[in-house]
Amino acid sequence: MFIQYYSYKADDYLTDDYFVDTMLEPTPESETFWKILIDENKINADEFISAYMTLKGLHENKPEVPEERIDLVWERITQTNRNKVIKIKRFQFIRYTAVACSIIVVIGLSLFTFMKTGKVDQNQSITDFARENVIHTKQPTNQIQLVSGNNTLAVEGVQAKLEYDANGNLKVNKKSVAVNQATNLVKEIQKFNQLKVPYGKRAFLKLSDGTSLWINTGTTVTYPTTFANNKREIFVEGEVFAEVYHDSKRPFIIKTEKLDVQVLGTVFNVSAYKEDKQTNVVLVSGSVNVKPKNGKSTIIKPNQIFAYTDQASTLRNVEVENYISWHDGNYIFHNEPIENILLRLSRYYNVTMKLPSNPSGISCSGKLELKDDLTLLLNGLSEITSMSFAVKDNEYRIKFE
Amino acid sequence: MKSQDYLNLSMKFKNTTFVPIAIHRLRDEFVRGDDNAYSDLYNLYAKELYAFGLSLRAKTDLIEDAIHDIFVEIYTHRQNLEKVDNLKYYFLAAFRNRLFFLIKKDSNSFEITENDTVDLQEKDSQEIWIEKEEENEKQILIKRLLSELTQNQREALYHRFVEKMSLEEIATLMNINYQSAKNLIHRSIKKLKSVTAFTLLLFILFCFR
Repeated sequence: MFIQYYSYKADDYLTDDYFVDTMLEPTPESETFWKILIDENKINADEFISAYMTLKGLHENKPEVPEERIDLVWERITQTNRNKVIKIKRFQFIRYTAVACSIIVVIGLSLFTFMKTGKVDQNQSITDFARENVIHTKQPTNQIQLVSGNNTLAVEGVQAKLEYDANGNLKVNKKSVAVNQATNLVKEIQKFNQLKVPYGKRAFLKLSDGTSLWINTGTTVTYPTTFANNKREIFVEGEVFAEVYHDSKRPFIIKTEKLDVQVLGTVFNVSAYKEDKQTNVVLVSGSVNVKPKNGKSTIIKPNQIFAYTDQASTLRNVEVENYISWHDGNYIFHNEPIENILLRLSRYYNVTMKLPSNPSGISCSGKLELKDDLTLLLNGLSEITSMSFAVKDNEYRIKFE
Repeated sequence: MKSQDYLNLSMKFKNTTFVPIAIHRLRDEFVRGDDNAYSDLYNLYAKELYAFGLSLRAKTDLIEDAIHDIFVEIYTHRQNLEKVDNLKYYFLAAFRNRLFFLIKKDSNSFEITENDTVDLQEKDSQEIWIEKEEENEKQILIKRLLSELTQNQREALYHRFVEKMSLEEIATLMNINYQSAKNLIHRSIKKLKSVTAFTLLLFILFCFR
């Protein structure tokens, strides 16, 4: 049967499966087989050998792979996987947590004059502490800052992750920090920590009771290292999305200038920006009690927004996703005046925008991916509306025509 | 009598690919959620995939993206591997699909043409002499020979002679039928031979003998 090989030329060998397979992965049998054919002069040895050498040449012509690139790709892969796991977890918690709500709280402009009257005493409340501290730390900063007693810790980067364990030990971006000692001190004298996230930055904070807070840009959160036995209180100025650890013995209260939100273990979003006049509370599911400083408490139902100003408060149904999507890195709008969209973008990217004083009357619907470049997003808005923009002296000048 | 045995052996080679049991064990551990098995799989195949991408003359960033994408994909879809017998082949196929998709998306990067010989000939004059330091003349000639081939022919030869894949596997991987795969290899070899350099190669090879 091997008679076929008698007349083989080099290229015939190279297209012969048995030849190729046994040359690349020889077995004792195959070696004897070819040896016999050659020794007995049954086949043309020159053709056989040239075929063999060509095959070896082709086989060894494997491109050189840079080892360090393989390692770098692996790092990238593990990074992506880690982010993915976090994303999936968050998604599940939005979908499946039975009690979930979202609250957006906005504080009036009149606040500043009021704050200066704040006084410190021995049993200083979290609200007073927060007010005091706002005055003390007026110096502008571009970094995320954790102020704990007399210690200030600045965190580099656009996003920071701070996690306390049950004993109040802190990890920043997965690394333990020396602030631990300082916080112990703070615990004794019952003071509070403040996390300041400037415009253009975001942070994630895990509190010592297991509650998770996603902190939006331009936000300050005041909280104790460990909570008291009978209640958990934090103070927010700006916007947070919170997953509150269930503890029926210690109600969780998010305090803001205009109202308090009391929950027993839920997920919610507090946004209290100084320059906004309206306080909004949006509930995803479950039930939450909102108590404005001047007014009676209101129970909010899922998919409802509680909008509070000094003049009036209203309750209506909304798409909650529009109010909480920021913590997943995008903003969703439905018929939103373009001015509001630009305001949110200017906060998120920490840029100054100059808008015409007359309202444009333009409304937009859609989703903006906040990981995209701001110019890209503005280009997109310009394309679908009559908006145009120019960058001058670090200012975005917007025109509608 | 003896020849009969050899033929049986040859049949066996054609139809089965031997997959070491250890690899199946690795696969099962990975499917069960073992992250060490995941990194073992990466270390086992990433280099192979990278080399394949380079042999296709794809941009390195696209090659890296493709490797990244398929490994991220299987991380969350482990059960996809559950019934896979030949892992190497599975990864090659997944990588190939992903890479070609990325190349298409990145359309101006790399064209599958008959004459990307051009860039190689340009290379000839300067770089080849630098390269010569690292590889022998045989390799240079092989490279020049390969540049005479079409993209498909080169890929088929790569699978056959570097990856040691069977014609059946090459056919499935490249989305062509068995006969086409066979013809592709055949034509490539014929073309290699028709190139003048081939005779030169043989001459050199004989000297090395």
